[in-house]
Amino acid sequence: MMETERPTPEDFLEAVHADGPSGRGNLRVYLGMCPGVGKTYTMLEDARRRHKDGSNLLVGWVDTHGRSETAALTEGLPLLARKKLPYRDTEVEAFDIDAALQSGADILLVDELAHTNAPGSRHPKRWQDIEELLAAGIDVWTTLNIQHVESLRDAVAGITGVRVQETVPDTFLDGAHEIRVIDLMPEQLRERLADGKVYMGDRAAEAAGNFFREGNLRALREMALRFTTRKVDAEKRGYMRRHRIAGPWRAGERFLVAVGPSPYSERLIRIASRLAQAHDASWIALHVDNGELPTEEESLRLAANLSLARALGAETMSIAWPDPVGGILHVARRENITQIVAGKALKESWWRALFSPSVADRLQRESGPIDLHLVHPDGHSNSSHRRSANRLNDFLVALLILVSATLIGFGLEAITGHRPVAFLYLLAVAITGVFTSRLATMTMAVASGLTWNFFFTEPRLTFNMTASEDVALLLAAVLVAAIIGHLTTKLRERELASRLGEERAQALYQFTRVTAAAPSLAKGVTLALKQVDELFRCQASLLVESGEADLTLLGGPALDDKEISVCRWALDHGRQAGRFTDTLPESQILVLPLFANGKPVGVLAIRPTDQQFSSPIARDLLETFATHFSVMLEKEDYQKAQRESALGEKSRQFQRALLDHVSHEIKTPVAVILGSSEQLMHGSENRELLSEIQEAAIRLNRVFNQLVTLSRAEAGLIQPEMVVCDAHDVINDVRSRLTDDKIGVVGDTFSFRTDPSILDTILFNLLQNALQYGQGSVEIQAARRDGYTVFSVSSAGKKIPSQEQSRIFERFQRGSQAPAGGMGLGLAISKEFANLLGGDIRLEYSEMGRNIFVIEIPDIA
Amino acid sequence: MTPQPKILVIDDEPQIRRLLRVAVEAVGWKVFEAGDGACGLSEVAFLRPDCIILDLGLPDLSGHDVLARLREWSQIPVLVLSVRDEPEEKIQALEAGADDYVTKPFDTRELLARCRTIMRRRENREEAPTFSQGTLLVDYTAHSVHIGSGEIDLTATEFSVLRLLCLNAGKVLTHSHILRSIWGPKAADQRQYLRVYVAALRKKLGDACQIKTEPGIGYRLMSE
Repeated sequence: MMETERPTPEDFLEAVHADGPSGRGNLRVYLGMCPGVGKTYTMLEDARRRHKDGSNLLVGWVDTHGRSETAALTEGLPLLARKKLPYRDTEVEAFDIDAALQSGADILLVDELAHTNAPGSRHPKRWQDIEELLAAGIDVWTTLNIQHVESLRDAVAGITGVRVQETVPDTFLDGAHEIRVIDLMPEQLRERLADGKVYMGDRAAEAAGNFFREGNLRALREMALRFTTRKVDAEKRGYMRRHRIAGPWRAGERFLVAVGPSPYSERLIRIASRLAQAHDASWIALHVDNGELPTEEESLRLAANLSLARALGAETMSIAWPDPVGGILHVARRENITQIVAGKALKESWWRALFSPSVADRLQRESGPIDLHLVHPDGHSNSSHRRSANRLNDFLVALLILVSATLIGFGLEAITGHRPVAFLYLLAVAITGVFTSRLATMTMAVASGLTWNFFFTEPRLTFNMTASEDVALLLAAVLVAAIIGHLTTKLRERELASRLGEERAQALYQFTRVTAAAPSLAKGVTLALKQVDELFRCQASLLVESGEADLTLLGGPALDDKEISVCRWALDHGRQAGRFTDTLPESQILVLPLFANGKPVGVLAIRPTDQQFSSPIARDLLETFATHFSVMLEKEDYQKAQRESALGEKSRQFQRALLDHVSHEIKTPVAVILGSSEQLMHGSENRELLSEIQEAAIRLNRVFNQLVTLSRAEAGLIQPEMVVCDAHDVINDVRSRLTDDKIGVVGDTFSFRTDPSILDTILFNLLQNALQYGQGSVEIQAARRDGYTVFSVSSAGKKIPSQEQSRIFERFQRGSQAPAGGMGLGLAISKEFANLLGGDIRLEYSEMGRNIFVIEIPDIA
Repeated sequence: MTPQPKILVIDDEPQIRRLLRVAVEAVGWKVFEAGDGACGLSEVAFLRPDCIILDLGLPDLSGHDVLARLREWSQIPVLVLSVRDEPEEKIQALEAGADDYVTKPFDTRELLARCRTIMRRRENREEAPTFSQGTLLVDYTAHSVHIGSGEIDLTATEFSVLRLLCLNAGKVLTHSHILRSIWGPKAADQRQYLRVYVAALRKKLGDACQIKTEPGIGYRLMSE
């Protein structure tokens, strides 16, 4: 009851989807039963109307098939230029998806949804182009004939005898916002065909006799109408569910279909898809990997089967399990499957029926409450031959063992008589089981029985036996041999499967250990790529996003421009691209996106040597590796964020220090001025207050000047102007403004080039600093020293602790022993100004117990 | 109050110390000065002043450290004088045991008035069973509040809040201090409780008592 009344979270998700997901474009499909019903015509008519209403509409691709009425309709509509692609010796025209994405159109018309793109295009199929357009938020109108719908392909083939190669997955059509069926009575269509409005000349007559037979058209029309009805029905039910209207839908059916590399699986998948649709249920396509290594052909077919299932709306899974039935049932229970779709057993050999019951039989026995659908395979199964080539080796091994056993048997018989030789054959069967497949072992069991019979029992060299004990022994031996063979091969298969799992785990462990121990990202990447190279025997490159549109190579061989564009696409869309995928499959590289904190930040580009990653299962391990790369990048990302925030914290601390100092330096004199003047106003006779006010005002002025000077220097507003000066003149100018007789001048004078006002500021600040913080007299000296003019300002005082020495030239830094007053700007300004002159300042401490500030200014030509 | 209160100024700015000396001596109090935290603490121990004016930005110890060390052994009223006017600074100082907080630049007469208030509260705090100010009379033992001759009906919680404010008349009480004292440590962040009760008190008491909001910090019962 609950399930029918309350919408599940999935329903809400669906509702969000249906109400136009944020930013995603809407898809409108003009659906027809066959070519010539007027889909493109109707679409263009609608487009003209919308264009007249002022919609921003663009014709991306329209095929008029030489029909003049249709061609006339495109006139006046904005058309997108077609792209020219080189194809063999000529050029072909193609839909230009990049131009379409950049066109800025709101609605884009792209004819022929089922079209297959020319080789060298970005996507193999047009519907994938449209998917990208929709994802970019562009509304798309397109046309489609019913026979190109994936799930209906077989049905259409059954009616018309024509099996189309170009199909569009049902899941894509499920996402359509609107499906418009373009309906035409079959008679009318045949009339149009006769009038030459569909095909020109001879083709018209040919078509009328084949595809456009009236019976075909009726069936196709029904199919098109039904398909549309189903979509409308689904919308209605979605609406009912969202609005809590109780309806007659079934609750919670879930289908599972087992998928293997056999071509027979394809039919199973289509049937499962139809069953699931009829029940409005979700379904899973499961592949059980039992550890047997598939041939190249098999893995390709398996990949194709799985992607077909995905295209038909299945969730695909793959599980490693030694026994297929066990694997199926394990997943079925875990995923709450209610119905399993399986194939009926194929032709069975007698021994197979005896020792290993068919999958169908076992499912029936072990599936418990789960319903079973057993489907009969249609004619073209050739799975019984598929392994022959692969297993030839096994039979050779078995033959070798048989011959060896027989040779040893001749020797043994001379000592023990012929019966113990039978046990020798048992041993041989067991050994065969260890090295070869089950089929070879079983064959070996029978063959060894026959060989014993032929060579060792009376009458010799015949298959006849005289002694009844021998007959009994033969039967028993063959039976025991078969059982031993069965058990050993089973054991071996298990071991193989677990070894495979072990290898993967080992590889992952190695990878993780090596990368985790790496001291830096670059080192880690190099090691990790080496691991990939060793394990998969193919080259890999790691690229990360840097800046707007750049990819930086972090490790591995460089890629060419074309390959970079594949990487770019994978990164922008957060999906796999390149070889073995749906996007740019002609590229030589396979690109996996890497995510940090949920957003794609880089890609792993692999250059496969052969078909090694063709199946999703083979890509499994690779994807796990990609995840580890992601973790590495994520860690780096995190550390970067941490560094940035530490930097931000430092700058915030600096801002705070600035505010603290400035407000202290300004508010203190202001407080003195306000307090003193207030007391004077209220009748205080104290004259001292006036000098307090003056002192505070001088202090305020100094703070103000320092701040302005520093700001000007920082803003680059102060440009040195060099003139020839006399060293003592400069010093005396500064001294006169300090009115302090504690300053002594040492040494001789000389002439040099400098900016006197800048030098004056430096010396003024240094002298003031020395007077304020030093003890006793202050000395200033000027000297020439190989290409430098050197001033030193010294005063007696305690040595400034070495950890503070480097900081005293920073802004708002005051020595820990500094008395009150001063903003810590004087030395900062001096340093800034010395740098303006191309020189520098440093602090020295002399043996005599004096702090000496040394300014060195180079002579600039 | 001693006839001639002793005031200790702990500030590293000689100009501020000189200004305060002039202002304090003008009202007839005695002034002592200290230029840094360590010096200030030893002066407190030696002089036993009646009130301390403390700057937060001292060269050796921060004013907060001086306050914390002082409160380990002395309850002498402390008025913090600082250029920092962020609420967090004030709350930190008040929570650490400062009695009041004045920011520079300041009005010297207001500063002295506040010194007077905190010194008087120390004397009052001892054992007075009632609080009276203007027409308001709060009887702590009888749990009654009168304005003039009329009795005001207060809920138990309202009375607790008023009693706390009266006991600390003139002093800023931080939100969390009031909340902790009345509702317990877990309520320290529930300022909305307090807002409701203070609003009720203001409505019931009218002009008879002024509860002033110190934005971002807390409340203060104004005292004459």
